[in-house]
Amino acid sequence: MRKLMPVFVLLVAATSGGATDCGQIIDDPGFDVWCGDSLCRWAVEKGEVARAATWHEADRGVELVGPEVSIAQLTEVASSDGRCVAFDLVADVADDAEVHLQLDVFGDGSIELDERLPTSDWRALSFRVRMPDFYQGVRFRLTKRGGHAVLANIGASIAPDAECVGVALVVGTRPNGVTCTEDPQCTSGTCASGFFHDVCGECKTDADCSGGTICGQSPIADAHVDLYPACVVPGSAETNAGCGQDAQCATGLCEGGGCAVCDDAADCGGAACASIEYSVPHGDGRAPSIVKGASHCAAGSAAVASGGACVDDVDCASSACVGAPLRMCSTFWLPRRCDDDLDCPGYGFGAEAACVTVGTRGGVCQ
Amino acid sequence: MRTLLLAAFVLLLVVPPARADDVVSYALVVGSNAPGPGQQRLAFAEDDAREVAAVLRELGGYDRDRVRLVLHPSPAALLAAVAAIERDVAAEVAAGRQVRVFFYYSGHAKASGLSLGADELALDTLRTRLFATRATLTVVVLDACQSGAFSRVKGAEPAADFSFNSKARLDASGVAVLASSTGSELSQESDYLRSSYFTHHLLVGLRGAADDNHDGAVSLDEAYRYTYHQTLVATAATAVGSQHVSVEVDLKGAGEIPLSFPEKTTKTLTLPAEAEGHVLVVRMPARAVTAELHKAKGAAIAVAVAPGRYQVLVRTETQVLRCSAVGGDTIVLERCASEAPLNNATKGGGAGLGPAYHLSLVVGLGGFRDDGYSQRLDDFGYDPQKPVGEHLAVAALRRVHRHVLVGGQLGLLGGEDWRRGTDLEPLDASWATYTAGGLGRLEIGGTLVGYAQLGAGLALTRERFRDQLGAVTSDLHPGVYVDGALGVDWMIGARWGLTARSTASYAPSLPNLIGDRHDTGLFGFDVGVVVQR
Repeated sequence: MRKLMPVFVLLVAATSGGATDCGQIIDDPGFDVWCGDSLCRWAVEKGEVARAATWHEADRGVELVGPEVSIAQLTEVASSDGRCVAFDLVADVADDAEVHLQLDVFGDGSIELDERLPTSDWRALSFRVRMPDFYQGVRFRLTKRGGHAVLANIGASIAPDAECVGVALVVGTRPNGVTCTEDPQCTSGTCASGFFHDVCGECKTDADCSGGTICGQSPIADAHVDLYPACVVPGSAETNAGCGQDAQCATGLCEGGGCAVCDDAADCGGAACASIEYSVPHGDGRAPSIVKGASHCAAGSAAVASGGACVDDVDCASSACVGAPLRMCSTFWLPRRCDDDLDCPGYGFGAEAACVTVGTRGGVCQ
Repeated sequence: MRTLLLAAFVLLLVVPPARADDVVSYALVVGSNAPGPGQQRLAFAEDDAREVAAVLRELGGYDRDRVRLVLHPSPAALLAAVAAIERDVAAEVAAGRQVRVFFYYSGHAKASGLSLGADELALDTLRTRLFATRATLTVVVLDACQSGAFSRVKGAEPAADFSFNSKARLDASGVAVLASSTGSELSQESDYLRSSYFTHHLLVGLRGAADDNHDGAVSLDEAYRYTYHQTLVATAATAVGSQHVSVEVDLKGAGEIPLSFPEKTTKTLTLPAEAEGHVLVVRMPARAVTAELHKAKGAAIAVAVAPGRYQVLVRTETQVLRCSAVGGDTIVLERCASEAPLNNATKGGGAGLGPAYHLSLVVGLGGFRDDGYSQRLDDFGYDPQKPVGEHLAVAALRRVHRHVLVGGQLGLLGGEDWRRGTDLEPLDASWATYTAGGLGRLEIGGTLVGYAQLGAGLALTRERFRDQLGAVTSDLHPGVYVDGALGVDWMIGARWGLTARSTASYAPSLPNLIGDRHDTGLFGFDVGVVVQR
């Protein structure tokens, strides 16, 4: 059973409609955010990277180290943001190196644009790309083969349509989680109902699934797409994990997008059954984000005996709810489980906590 | 060098004072530039005669038609003019009036007589004719070389201290003889004064500078005392040598003999009591020196002048005040333009006409330069945060020429601030350049001084960079700079004023790792204060 607050509708609609940061599409275009010896906002798909001085010793870019290097970033930019993307690149590429900028629209692995960067000695390079009429999410990939190459800035921003000339990029069908209006648009051939609009998915009903699976919900998706209908094993979703229907949950209760331990007050001996709330601090003085988990019984209710399902220690008579770490997006109002920051919509434009560990998944009272 | 014969005689025959309307005055003023055998032509003798005649008419109480001006005469013509005076005097005496006769001669002379071109008029002849008139008072001024010979005929010697000499004789009856030079000295003209030294100072004295007792009249005693000292001082440093005014008087009675009445003239230039120094009154636009005197602090001096425009220069050791005035003005020193004095004798060549030292402090704003460096910052995604940079400069200059000053300056060229946003803290690059170097300045003007200046020297740019984690690094980059300015000083006071200038500077002192070098100079506008000493 789905219980959704109306306020969520507007917020999610805005997120799904695309997002840019003051026109910027790429997160950390200047390669300024480092996590140890690796870039935080870029995925190193191949080879190694290192900090390297650019025009100033303290303004560091990224050196693509090794004969073959690839770094990528999947962004949430969408056609609602604009259809003309302006690139402003600054790099120092040796003659014996070859650097390419690739665009993977929808982030589905198909490369719609492969542009070699002829820049060297830090000469600036600008060009425009006309995007397709509809797109939702783009993976930007930088690859290098050969010698020395240092990238200082890979700026990409939405430009007025008039600045783009030529034909638009040609894209194929849409992967799961992308908004759709009819089945042929989807790679899966299925345009199913989502929370707020139809999305490409694996199924519309249980009948579309086989092998004893049911039509539930994908527990995790990349940030640029919505969670989508997927064929899942009944009862496979742990307590506090994401779900599409009750049968997907081990507890048989899917409340607020998560597998719950209670459905209503009756399950709590008269006490309230409500979503657990996790407070995620930002550390910069702002009020912490409140992340909602699955429903459980409020304090004062009958304690869960040892071996019972739980989402928090307070649920248990032993005060010990043991399970796997529950990681959820703090950047998204709807409960959305995640494995890493890149799974969280809006992460690229907030710089605050994104995919954070907030509680227990699949908890069992000790 | 021009050496000219100048001498002055004053022969006074004094009788007991008469009522003013019972005294008539006649003057015979003679000038001759003509040289005698072996002599050079004089330049200003006839001009001096004209000026003496003018002063007598203006300040001496002489009716216009009783002042006879005779230029470059022959001996016969001169004696004829004397004869005419003799006749007029005789007629006046016959009418019961007392007569004053003033005789002035400027020209060449020898110990034996006046040189009137190729001819000579013997001093004995002239003296006899002048003494033969029936005038009750005869004043004879001869401005010629070896004029002391005239006195010596009368038994006079050069006056070592004229004030004592003349006063003592005036108290007694007899004849007074004054000579601008002794019987063996040469008298001199001055190209600078455009006059002979003696006549110039005599006229200045008669215009009021010699009025020691401030009674509004310049007496014979005052005029000669003033002329003696001024002429001696003025000629002391000339190549010809000192020129001693001498006097011989034979007076009856004890009253002072007034020669001019500067207070009665309607046009005077008054030097205020606080004025001190060497004063030059120049008539404009002819730039003729009307008066030159030393003014001591403590009492005002009124100098009688003809109507017209004048420039008054008051010079001290440290400055020259240049004042514009018209007859009737009292000079207000605070309104005069101040300049450093032109001092030819200054050793080391440090001073010219105008204040010797010039200090300035200016502040301003200037635009930045777009070059490869700033373009590079733009390429890297940085945005400028400041539209203009501040400028501060202090300069100290010393005058080496009337229009040229040299010195040094210290400056600050406020630098730019460029910022690039990141997901962490913004990157911030900023800098400022400090300069120290030499400065040359070319200027012209008075109260408003237009100038152009050019400087060059060392620049030191301090660059500051704050990274995305807030860590700050600072680097110093040495270089050179040049700058220039066009501006105007408005001298409000004698020693200070305001200045405004447009400036431009070039300081390529900020490099980056790529090889660009930024010009941290500014192009802008400054205002400030200047102080001169």
